[in-house]
Amino acid sequence: MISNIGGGLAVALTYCADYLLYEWLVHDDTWRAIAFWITLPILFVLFGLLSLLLQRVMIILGTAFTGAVLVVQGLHFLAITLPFGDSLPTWWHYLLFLRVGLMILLGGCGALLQARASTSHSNPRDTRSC
Amino acid sequence: MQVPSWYWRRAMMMVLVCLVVLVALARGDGGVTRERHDEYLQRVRHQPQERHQPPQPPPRAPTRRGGLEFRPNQGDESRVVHAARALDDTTITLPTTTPPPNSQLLTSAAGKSVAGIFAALFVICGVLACFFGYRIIKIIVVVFGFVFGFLASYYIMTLFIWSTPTGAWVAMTVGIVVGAGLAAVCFFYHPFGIFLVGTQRECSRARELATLAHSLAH
Repeated sequence: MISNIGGGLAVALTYCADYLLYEWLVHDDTWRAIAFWITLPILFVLFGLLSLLLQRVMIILGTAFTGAVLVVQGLHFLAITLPFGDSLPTWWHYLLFLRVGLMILLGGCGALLQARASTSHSNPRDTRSC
Repeated sequence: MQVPSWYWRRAMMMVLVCLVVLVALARGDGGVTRERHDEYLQRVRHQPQERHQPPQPPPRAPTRRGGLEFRPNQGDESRVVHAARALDDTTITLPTTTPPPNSQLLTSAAGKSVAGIFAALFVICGVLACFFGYRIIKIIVVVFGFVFGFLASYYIMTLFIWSTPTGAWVAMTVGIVVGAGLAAVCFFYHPFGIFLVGTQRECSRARELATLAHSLAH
């Protein structure tokens, strides 16, 4: 339990640091090339190794938030491509500004549900249990 | 490694779904972006806003050829001359013809239907990944390996090497091959798939940065 919470906090802090570093680098013309050629490969390897070390936490967080992004973007695309998409109400366009919030909410709920469910299941890598 | 028989069927099904989605997105020039959505909203609401227009060449003055007023304002003089000769002593002004932009993906009925189907697929796959990702991680790593290989090779080839329409098809073919190879690696060597799932944020950022660098360079 403690190791899971510690792993989750470590991942969350790493995500925050990654976000701040990226936002700082990418909005500066001078540092953008460094962000692409140096920082990104380092972060790529760092997060890859982190996912290997904290498999359960990273898998749950990664799949939950990726799924949340897919759901929200898919709903948005679905709304603007449906026949009534031409006459979408105004509140829908205001809602678009809250897409990030919806993604975080949905991803957080998915991660919590998966974490609770995974405590009663065996290791997914163990194919003998399938 | 013991692999149940249903697993092969499910993995192949997910790879096929990914393949269809990626081909459709690639043909649609990257799918729906915020700019494209805003452009679409402006079009359907008939509220055109001032946008930066490229400088247009000044219109050429009408000329006379054998009693015909010749208005070559369409850039297709052979058609105008041919029509002038056929109609004799007639002022000809052809309608302006502009090539259809790629952003018409969502405006046509067929494009809307296809985009709607894929959007529904996104939602279904998203719900599965969001709430059952840990249980179906074996399928997810295979799909993610395919998507990673496809997008990486496709974007590298189209952005930096070959940006012609033919190049896009070549890049798509190469992307499918590379994606299938990475999916196989993820399937038989599970830690590599876990590694890729963990790096998804950096993958998406690399794509954004590459697109930004390409747009700034051109």
